[in-house]
Amino acid sequence: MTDLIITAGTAISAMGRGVDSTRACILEQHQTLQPDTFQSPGHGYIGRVAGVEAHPFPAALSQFDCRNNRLADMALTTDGFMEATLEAKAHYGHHRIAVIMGTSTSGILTTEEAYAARPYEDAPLPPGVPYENTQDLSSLPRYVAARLNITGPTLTISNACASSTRAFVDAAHLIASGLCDAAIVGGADSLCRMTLQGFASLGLVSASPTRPCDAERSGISIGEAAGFVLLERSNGRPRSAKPAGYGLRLLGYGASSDGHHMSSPDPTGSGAAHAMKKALDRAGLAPEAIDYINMHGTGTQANDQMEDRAMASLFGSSVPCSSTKGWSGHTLGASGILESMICAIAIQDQYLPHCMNSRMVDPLFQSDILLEPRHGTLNYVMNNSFGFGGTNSSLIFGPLT
Amino acid sequence: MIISINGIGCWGEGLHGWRETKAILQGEAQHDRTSLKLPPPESLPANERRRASQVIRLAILCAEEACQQAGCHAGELPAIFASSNGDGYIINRILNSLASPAGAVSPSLFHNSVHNAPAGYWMISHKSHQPAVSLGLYDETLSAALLKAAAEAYAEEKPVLFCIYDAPIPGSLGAIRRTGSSFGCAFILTPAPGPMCQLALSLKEGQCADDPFTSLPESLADMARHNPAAQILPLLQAIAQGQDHSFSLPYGANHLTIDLTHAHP
Repeated sequence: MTDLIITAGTAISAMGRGVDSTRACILEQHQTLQPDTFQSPGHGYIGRVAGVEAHPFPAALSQFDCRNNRLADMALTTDGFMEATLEAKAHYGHHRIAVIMGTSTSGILTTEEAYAARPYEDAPLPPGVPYENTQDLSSLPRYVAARLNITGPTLTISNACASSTRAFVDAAHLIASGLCDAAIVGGADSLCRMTLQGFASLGLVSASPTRPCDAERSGISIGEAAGFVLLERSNGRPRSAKPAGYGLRLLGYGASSDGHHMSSPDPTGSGAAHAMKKALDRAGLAPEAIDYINMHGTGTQANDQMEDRAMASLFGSSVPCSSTKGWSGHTLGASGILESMICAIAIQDQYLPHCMNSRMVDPLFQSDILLEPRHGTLNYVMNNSFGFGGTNSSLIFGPLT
Repeated sequence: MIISINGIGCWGEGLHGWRETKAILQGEAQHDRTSLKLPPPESLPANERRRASQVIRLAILCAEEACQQAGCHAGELPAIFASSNGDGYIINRILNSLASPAGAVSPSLFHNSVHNAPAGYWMISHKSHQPAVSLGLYDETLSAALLKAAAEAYAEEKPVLFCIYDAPIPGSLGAIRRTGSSFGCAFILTPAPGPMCQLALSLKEGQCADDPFTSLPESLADMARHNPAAQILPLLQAIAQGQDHSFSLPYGANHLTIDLTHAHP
């Protein structure tokens, strides 16, 4: 594949804003999930980002103002990400940078509020409800492009919880085919009643903070996150000495479908294993070269069991792995971009994060699930995301230098 | 970027399959906009067929027909699905539920509400492990998705299934997001010259001023102006008439130019 690198990257979630505070959250083992007071009645625990409501949103772009774009703006203004894109723009030209975003529900919260304010059911929404700039899938990439003053091709990927992981694949296609020289890749998903109520209706929300891979796991805690990377060819331009936020090398990607069921993963894990195998093949790496896997690890019975089987079928029990959703909650379509940053922190610190909150690994699991953090040599790490509709994506990262 | 089209599927209001659509676009049949009959797609297993919404049917009928026409094995193709509105019927019902005093959402509506539901049903019906991406970009969904599909075929050096569809959103939301009718279209795209016709796609800086829909019969021009997926109709018209044709579609600060040439034996 085209040799691709991340020269700037950041993300925000309940774990913190940017690389340093997320690192502190992991090292100091903060408790970040809190009871759901976002809606009434609440369901279980949530990973809520502090300060979203008070964040100063750019007045010139107020037509885009909604919780999802507020999260995006908080991420854009973290870790010097915006400044880093200026250098790339000066080199490539603003029209040669694409904006490839993943989101599952975009700014639907704004429409939820407009529905609640109707005088009667089916009353037409007033023309002032900004559907196009909030709920519509195009809202996020158009906002990011406008904020960064970038005019290359924009695209929204909405592959449920695999959205922002899959966005890397689509960005790689656009760069490889010459449609752009670099891409802002990432995504955002924010708290809304649709997902809080929807996952509760499926019986998938845990009453206590989520405990991925635990024998007694009882479901997910929903979270929110936004994050971005600047993805470009490794020989695209002279590189600054230090990346803004974090840097990585994208060594491989793999995407697949389960072809099994809309909301239940294939219990054999063969679809997920397919995505991981394709990522390994593309990276030209043997399974034993992988030093850590950041799992999708949602904390549901079905997902974690399936993922363990899929990993064990390729890696046996030799690769340490964990889910960091015990900190962030399940940030849905944004989980891939958040966990890419966690992979970068793991490589930088040579430190493998564990499954926060989890106490006893499911005895049926074969993989090396981390209940305690570990120090180790990390060169190559894998990041997995899976979603409704049986959509799977895996990425393999290595150090930038 | 040059790609060839090796199979076409097309369904929508008064457009029941490519054969009927082609005759209308050739001026040999009338377009009856009042009829929309979407038969249950043959490829869906009984369970999924029962659960599939009208929007899922629309997308899958198009994909099925394009694969049949190209004579390719559907389960072997990576897929690019695209829609601006997604499943407006389901989204509106969920929004209504959330606004009701109980606020509870139907579980099956919720998992069918994801934008990638048609892609999921498609892969389930073929028990396929091929990747699928689901895209949306408001009124520029066609420009973005066609270019992305071509880039994927080119970068992965493999044929892909491209499927674009849109349908009206009912209820309160429909009042501010107006979509005139249901329309869907699918292509099998191959990154090499083919026996039928080929497209040269290029992304150019700046806006395009021309109206690409003036050559269409009035009812179809109206569809193209009020359904983001139906913006593909000028291309389908030129294919149906065997004419080489160039047109442009807006894409953000840029525009996408589509140059169609037919294979000359």
